[in-house]
Amino acid sequence: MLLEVKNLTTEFKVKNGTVRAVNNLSFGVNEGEILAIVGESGSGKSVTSLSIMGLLSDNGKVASGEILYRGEDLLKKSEDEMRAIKGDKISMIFQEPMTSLNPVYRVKDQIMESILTHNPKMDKKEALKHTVDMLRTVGIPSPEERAEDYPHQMSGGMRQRVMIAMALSCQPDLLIADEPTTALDVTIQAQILELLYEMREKFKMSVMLITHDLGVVAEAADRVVVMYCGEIVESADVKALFEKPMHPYTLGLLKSIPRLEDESTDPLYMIRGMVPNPLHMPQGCPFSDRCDRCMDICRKKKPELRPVGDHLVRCFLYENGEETK
Amino acid sequence: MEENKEIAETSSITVGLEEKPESIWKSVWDSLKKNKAAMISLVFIIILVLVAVITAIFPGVLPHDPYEQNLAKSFAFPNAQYWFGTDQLGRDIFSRILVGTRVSLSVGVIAVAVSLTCGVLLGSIAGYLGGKVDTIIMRLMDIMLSIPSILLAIAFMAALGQGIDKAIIAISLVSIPEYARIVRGEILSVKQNDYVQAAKVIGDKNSRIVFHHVLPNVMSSIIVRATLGISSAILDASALGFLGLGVQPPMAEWGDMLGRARNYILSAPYAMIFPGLAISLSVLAFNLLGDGLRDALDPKSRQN
Repeated sequence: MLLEVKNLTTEFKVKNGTVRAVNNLSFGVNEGEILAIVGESGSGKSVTSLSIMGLLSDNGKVASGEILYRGEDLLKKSEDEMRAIKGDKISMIFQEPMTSLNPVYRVKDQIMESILTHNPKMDKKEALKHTVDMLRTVGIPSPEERAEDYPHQMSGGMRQRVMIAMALSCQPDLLIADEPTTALDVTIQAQILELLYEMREKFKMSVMLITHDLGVVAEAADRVVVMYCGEIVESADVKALFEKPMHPYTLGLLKSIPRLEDESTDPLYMIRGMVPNPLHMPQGCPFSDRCDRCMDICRKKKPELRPVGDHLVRCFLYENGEETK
Repeated sequence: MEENKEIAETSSITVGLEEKPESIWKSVWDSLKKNKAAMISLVFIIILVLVAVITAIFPGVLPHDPYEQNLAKSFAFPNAQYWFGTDQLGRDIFSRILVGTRVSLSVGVIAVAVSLTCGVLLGSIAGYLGGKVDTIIMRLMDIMLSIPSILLAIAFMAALGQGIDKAIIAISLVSIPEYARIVRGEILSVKQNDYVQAAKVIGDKNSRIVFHHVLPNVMSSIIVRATLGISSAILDASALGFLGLGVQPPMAEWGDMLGRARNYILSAPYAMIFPGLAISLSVLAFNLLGDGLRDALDPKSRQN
């Protein structure tokens, strides 16, 4: 296992108390796999990635747990050791390609910076050559010329390609992609996903793909983790998940995707209610208030994550290892 | 598929292809050129600089010795020999104004350089690190800002003693908070940008992030503030000179000349008018240039 997150709990201090954004979260990323983390806004998926990268804002901190990268706990590493890992072994791309490049530097300078930071002995010419190679690899036409561009001269899709080139320039083992396609239009989304897929093959890396778009998941991922309120509610291989979603939340998410072939005039299904206020979590299952199949026990006790078939599910419906009708 | 990709990309990048990557400074210069007031100011400032440098290197070009007293000729009305007249000691006002350029400009530039460096450093540290460091630095700056700057400068002068070097220190000290505040504010907003996160992701050190990624994005407001800062430093220096706290006699300084001619305002107004004009015009020139730079550096106005 390349990356193993064990019982990760991340908390934020806010005005009225402490918010637990990620609660006792455990999952792993295997070598060469694309793991998708799905959930709506506020489910803790971005906080998970920021915790791994050590990029939490000042009011947030990892309260407990371990983040094992090749068996070494990243949380115990010093700042210098983390800097050596970031960008070299673990890289990250962000949601907003429009703002993730520094407007005052040429594209080549920004990619070269990443290369030179981790290979201080490399001379500039070589780094530039590598930069142009990377730009070509991520599918930027006439990379020699585009390398001289400033970010504002590129489109969103091009910038996201540059970000990917930058993230991959040191050939990391793990790429964390935090909603890499959300800010792009649909045709470009497909291209970027395709590119991530290709790059995974080419560089033999693992990808942790964070998204709220189940279409993206179905297209790109090998395995899926569905998060709700900072916890995993279901996890399974992508096929198993889409064939037989188990948790009512996963079911709800899948049902609320509009379908072209759907001829009926019924309004689109939606999960009722809102994500509960993290300062006032329900006593039992955090999803109980919004669940169509809520039972008495759901309001009193919190279910555990347990294996059901080839899934892991956190729901009382599957208490006996199979669905209670 | 491949073709679609091409089309999708070329359509969105045609703009980029037509205008070859051009440096930001060139486009700033282009838009500054269109601003007449700023260009006239720039020319005026260049003349000031030339005057300051030339009179320092070749004092011979001055029409008269600015320090030579001739009581017999005191308060001569402006004429062909003494273009701006003479002062109470019979010294040529024109020559003294020319020589004074050096003092005023160097006070302006040095004071701004010193306060800018300190202000940018303090502001960056406060803005980037945040937390307690931020609170301590910024409250200190607030305390300094709560006292009128000229009053504070006078207080510093009282503590440090007289002299132009001390005036520079005093003026530098009192303008640090302004820079610190501006830089801190800008850094607070710039550091939220994803490219700062991206820099952290590629493993950059804090110091490199601040100086390499954050500060260049704050540069435009710093440049504008610094240009305007030169004018206020010139004004402050003149005010100190007027109060007799600046240069030591017989050195020529505009504010000092103004202050010494004050008693004779009714009988010899030209002894005040010309140094006053020199101060106002220089300050005006730096202000207009600063305004022009602000417009030129503003990306919104630059595009059209």
